[in-house]
Amino acid sequence: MTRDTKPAGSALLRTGIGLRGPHVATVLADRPTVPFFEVHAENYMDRGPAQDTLLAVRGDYPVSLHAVGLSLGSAEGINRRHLARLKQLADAVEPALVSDHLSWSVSGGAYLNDLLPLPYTEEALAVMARAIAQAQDALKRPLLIENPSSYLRFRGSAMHEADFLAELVRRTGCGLLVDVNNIVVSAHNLSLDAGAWLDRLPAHAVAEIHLAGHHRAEADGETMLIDDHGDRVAPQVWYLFARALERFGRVPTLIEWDSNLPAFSVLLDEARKADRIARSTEVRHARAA
Amino acid sequence: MLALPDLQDAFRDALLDGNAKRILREIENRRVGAAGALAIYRNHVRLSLTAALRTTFPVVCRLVDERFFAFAAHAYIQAQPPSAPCLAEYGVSFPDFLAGFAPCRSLPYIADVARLEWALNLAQIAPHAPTLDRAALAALPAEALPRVVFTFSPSVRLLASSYAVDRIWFANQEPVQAGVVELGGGARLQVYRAVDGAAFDTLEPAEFLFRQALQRGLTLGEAAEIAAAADPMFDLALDLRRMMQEGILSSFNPAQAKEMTP
Repeated sequence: MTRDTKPAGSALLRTGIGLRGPHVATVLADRPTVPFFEVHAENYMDRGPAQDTLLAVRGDYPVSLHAVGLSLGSAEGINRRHLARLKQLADAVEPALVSDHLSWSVSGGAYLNDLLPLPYTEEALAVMARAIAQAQDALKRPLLIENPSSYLRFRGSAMHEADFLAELVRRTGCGLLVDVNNIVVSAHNLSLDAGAWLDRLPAHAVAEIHLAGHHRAEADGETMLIDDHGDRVAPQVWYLFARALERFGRVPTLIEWDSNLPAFSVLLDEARKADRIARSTEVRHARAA
Repeated sequence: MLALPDLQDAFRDALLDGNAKRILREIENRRVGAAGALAIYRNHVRLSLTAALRTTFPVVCRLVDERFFAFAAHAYIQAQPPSAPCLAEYGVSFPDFLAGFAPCRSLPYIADVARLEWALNLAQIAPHAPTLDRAALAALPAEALPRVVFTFSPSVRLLASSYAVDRIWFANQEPVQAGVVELGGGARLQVYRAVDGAAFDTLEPAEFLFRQALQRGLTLGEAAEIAAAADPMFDLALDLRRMMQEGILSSFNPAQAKEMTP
């Protein structure tokens, strides 16, 4: 176990919260006890009023930057202008962590605003590895790569998603952001074994965990899980979270909520629940030792 | 299997144009089938981009109603998808799109309302800029002043409409009051970022022409002539002071003023 080489400081080892626009005023007014906040980088680009607000938050809390727009898996390559803007933001915020996704969003110059799936092939591996290396060179820090929620697979995929991520780690030195909800969603939708998926990841590279809610959509007697970040964390996601903690140790963990955003106190409640589960996992570890 | 550039091109076609023929051969889902799985992505792209446009153009949405807005937004997203990932910057061409969108023909003012909302959005997200150094301007010799050229703050937009888009905008803010808005009379507006956020002011014709000339890069002397032609009572010093108080000027160019001195 190489847990002590992970990039996060001990202050981050309790559960943080994804900060969304409607909660910013509450947070700045009440200064709640939260170990760190994570924001979507794309909402704070350029030095203007939005970035001022983020820097005010940063004055009191560690901040993690979660990008959705680098489109690391696009065959046409990374958007250099967007990377330069992310670099400006990272230089201003001095984030504890910076992450983006194992996905693509841009084709023919059109930004499709979704984290679209990749075929897990040697060709896609080369595209992703080149883009991650470019981003890490520009940002001068390791990037964490998050596993996507998937609704389909490519017939031409030749690798397991977890093996694909492991190979990206080997080639680029990037870290991994394990979204436990996305594993549950993808595993259900694509009939995979979520536990086996976790077990294939290189544990030393896992530097952050995401938790979020999903919803169940019924169509033609079949159920698909939709990753909408619009509810409390589901029971099977908590279950897999405990298993992830046993395998990866305590890493910075985040509650994400985007659609149907509730009062901030609900997010605090979910974060405390994650901390309780983490503590009981540590107790079990201690007893087993 | 298609090579990655072709695969992503085919995926894009399926998401934007509904032309899924090429991509359906490449993908699978045992629960809902390839087409069912693809529909989940298509739905997300359409709904999330429509929501982004609704955030930027709330008054347009209120004027045409949610369903029509979603219909217009969908056509726009197909024709002109975003080119960059910051969604607050998406929609620059939506006003022009609405102007040419046949189903909107009965609402001739809608494009100008959209232009006002876009200008307010830009005023809010524009990066900070320096404010004009008033002492340095005051220190210029009087004979140099007519040749000064100004740079405006990036948050400033001037907007003229033959409809009363200012009254339409105010009438559609929460809480919406029932009543009739007089559409005629036109509007000349200066949209900018005030201390507490995006705002707009109504301008007199001469004030509008004065700012418009300066923003196009004409000299202070040339702009003053244009304004005076529209209104012989135009008070240059007063209006310039007001512009500086509002912080809409970012810098001036005395070098050019000197260069052009005969």
